[in-house]
Formats: sequence, structure tokens, C-alpha cells
Amino acid sequence: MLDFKHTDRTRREFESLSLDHLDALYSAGLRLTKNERDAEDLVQDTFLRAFRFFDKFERGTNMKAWLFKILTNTFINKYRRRVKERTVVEGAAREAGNERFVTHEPTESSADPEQYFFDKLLSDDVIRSIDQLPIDFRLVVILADLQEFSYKEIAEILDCPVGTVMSRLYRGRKLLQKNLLGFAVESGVVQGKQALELSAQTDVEAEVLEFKRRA
Amino acid sequence: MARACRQLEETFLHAYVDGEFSPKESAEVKAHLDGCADCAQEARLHQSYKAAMLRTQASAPNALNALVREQLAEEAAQGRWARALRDPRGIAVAAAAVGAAAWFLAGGLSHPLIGRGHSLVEDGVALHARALPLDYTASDATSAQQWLSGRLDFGVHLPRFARGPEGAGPRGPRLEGVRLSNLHERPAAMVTYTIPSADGRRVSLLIVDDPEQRLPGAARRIADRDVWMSRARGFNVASWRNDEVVYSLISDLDEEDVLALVESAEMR
Repeated sequence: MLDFKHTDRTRREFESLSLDHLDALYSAGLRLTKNERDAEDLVQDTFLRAFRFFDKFERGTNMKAWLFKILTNTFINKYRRRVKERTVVEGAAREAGNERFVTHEPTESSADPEQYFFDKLLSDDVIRSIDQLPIDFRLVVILADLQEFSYKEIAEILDCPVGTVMSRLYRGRKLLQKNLLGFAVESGVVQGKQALELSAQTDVEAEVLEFKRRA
Repeated sequence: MARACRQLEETFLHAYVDGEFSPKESAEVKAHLDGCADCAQEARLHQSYKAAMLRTQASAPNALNALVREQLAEEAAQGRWARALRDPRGIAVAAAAVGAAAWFLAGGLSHPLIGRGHSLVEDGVALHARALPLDYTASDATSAQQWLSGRLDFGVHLPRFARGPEGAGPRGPRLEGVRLSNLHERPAAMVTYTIPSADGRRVSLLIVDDPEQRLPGAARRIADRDVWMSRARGFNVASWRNDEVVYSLISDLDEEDVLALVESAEMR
């Protein structure tokens, strides 16, 4: 039957539950697709799909996790290929676009390099380090460290065991920190000597190779 | 990692900082950290890493919220018909409701009301009609073109409109700004102008990179260009190609005025 009132009520309910998560979905979409236009497309697709399957959503359960499950599935199915094709042209545009995320200026090196290393980083360098991660690591790092989902929620979003989430998260973070160290030296935020001391802590190349071999 | 301390694994400390433990477990870890400088240092390092990650959060562009709402409204409207057609009783009710049973059933499930039956230009007209907010406001073509060139993967030339002779149609469209969009999964730009000499009426220029597209309407030769004129939803549309990119001028101006505008448009 045509039930126009019902449809409008459903849409209003959906909007009130979902639109609060727009910024979070966009922010994650931006780090998945690495460019603003694809991120907007991905977010729009996510909302449309979620609305189509809204009758499958169990009221009272975790809406944010449900939306992120749709976001990651949509990205994996549809955007990965497109993003790969575009990586050649995106570089220059992104350089300009990311300036507004820079929140910290390089500061004098402190007496305790470890404790303050992450505090004085340029957000731009952090973003580049996230973007360099292979997709499996990038997904868990985005969900855990940008969105602060619990290990269990991430396991549900990605349909994998909690143990897999933990090992990917650990290796992803180590790899990211290693990339970050390189960028931080490049942009002069840390000195070469400090970098050497720190790199001893973030030496994960062997682990990553091992992970890839087993995957 | 704290090499001196073999009691707590690094992954364990991370899980603690990530808030994965129960209050009781957390209290036990904290008791250890109070007495172990190495582990405490490791936990602080992980905290500062997490803070640095959170600082990279971006917020969605303002226009995105409105766009998502628009699309949901559209989807809800289309969904009514799709649902009605899935349910045979619904078809009868729907058909009776619009009083066009034969017309509707002849269309069957491939009826244009379902799915993407619309042409690119029709969808462009729908965008124009909605007057969605601009992503970038600019009054000069050079800066608008520069802004677009960093955001589209095809080359765009914003036309320069020459000032026509007195009394010959609308003169000097004023650039208001641009908006990025997507039509049929293709990136597109909508450039908005107003025409002061025509009570500030709004004109949109839709720019899509679509070499395969068949342009709608009838072709004419204007100022060394093939221009296709068509009408959709009460708007006049003039489309032409420049370097394999399709430009469509959409407005409710008279056909004569639209042609005058197209004629004065210089593509650099």
C-alpha cells in the first residue's frame, strides 16, 4: 500500500538518528578515499544505502557502528578501484587542501624527546602517514584512533575476530609511527639524532613483512 | 617499550590506554604504572599518539548535510513508487490514485519513475531548480576557474561573457560562485550567475566531462559552435562542447536571450 505519512515519518526518524554522525563519517571517508570529492560521494552513498536498509536496523542498537559498517563495505566494494585510478592526479590538489589541518608549529626539541614527540607533530604529517598505510591497517587505525570505536565494535564493523583487529591495530600503529618519524625528520620537527633513538622503538618492518607473508 | 619491565606487554598497555579494560582491571594496571616509570612512560607515549591522531579530524563541508537531506527526500519519494510496484495491490492503488492505469502498467517495472531514467541535462535542470548553496563564492571567472581546476580531474574553461549591445538581450551575467556536484557518478561543476538586467534572475552553467553523451535537443550553429537547445521542466537549456567537456547553460530566460548569452560567451 502507498503510505506516504509512514514514509515521511521513517525518513525523519532516520535523519534524527543518522545525521549526527555526518562529520565522523566524512572524516573517516576522507582518510579512506584520500580526497574530498570521493569522500563526499562515499558519505552520500552511505546515507542512501543506510536509508534503504533502515528496516534492517535494530532500534536501540549502535547506530554509529551500523553506519560505519555500511561506509566501509561501500568503500571496499566501490571506491577502492576508483581511488587507485586517481592517485596519480590527486597529489598536487591535496598538498594545498590539507593546510587547514595543520594545528601545531614545529617547536624546539625538548629534553624528553619521547614524551613530546607526538605532541609537536604537524597534523599534515600525521595525515600523510595514515594515507600511506595499506588499506587493511588503515581501516582499523581509522576506526580505533580517529573514531575511538572499541575493539569489539571494530570486529563487528569489519566482520573479523577481535584478535585480528588487535594484531592489525598494533602493526598498523607501529607502521604509521615509523612513517611519521620519517616525515617529522623531513619537516624538521625532530632532529636526526632523536629519530635514531626513536626508530629503535618503531622498528616493525620485519613484523609487517611477516604479516603480509601470512595474510 | 620498557625493556626493563617484563611484566606488561606493550599491546596490553595499549589496550589499557584504549579503554578496553574493566574498572577493576584498569585499577590493577594503574597500580603497576604508579610504581614502574618505564611502563608509565610507554602509556604516556601512546596517549600522546592518540591525541595527535584525533587532531586530524575533519568536519564535513556545510553543503553536504543539505545534499544528503535532499537525496533522502528524493529516495523516499521514489521508494513509494518502487514499493507500490513490488506489491501488486499497490500498483492498482497507485494507478487508480494517479488515474493513469494504462500508462503506468505499459511502463512496467522499467518505468522511468524507477531508477535512473533521467538524462544528464534533466538532472542538471533539477539541480538548478533547487538552488543549492555554493561551495565557493567568486565574482571573477579567473579565481573560480582556479578553484575548480584543483578539484576536477578535467580541464574547465569558464566563459567570459562579453557585454552585448544596448537592448539586445540580457547583458553582463554576474558570477556568484560555483558548486561541485555529481551527476550519474560523474564529477560536475555548477556555476551560478545572476543577471542584473533581468531582475537578478539566476542562470546555471553545468560543466561535465562526458565525451560519450548525446546532447539533447536541436543543434544550431552559434558563434562557431554547435549549440543544442532543449527544454526540461520549464527551463531552457543550451549545451555545447569545448575540449570534450560539455557545458550546459540552464535558465528560465527566453530562448532568444539564452542564444544571445551563448553568443557572447567566450571560451578561453
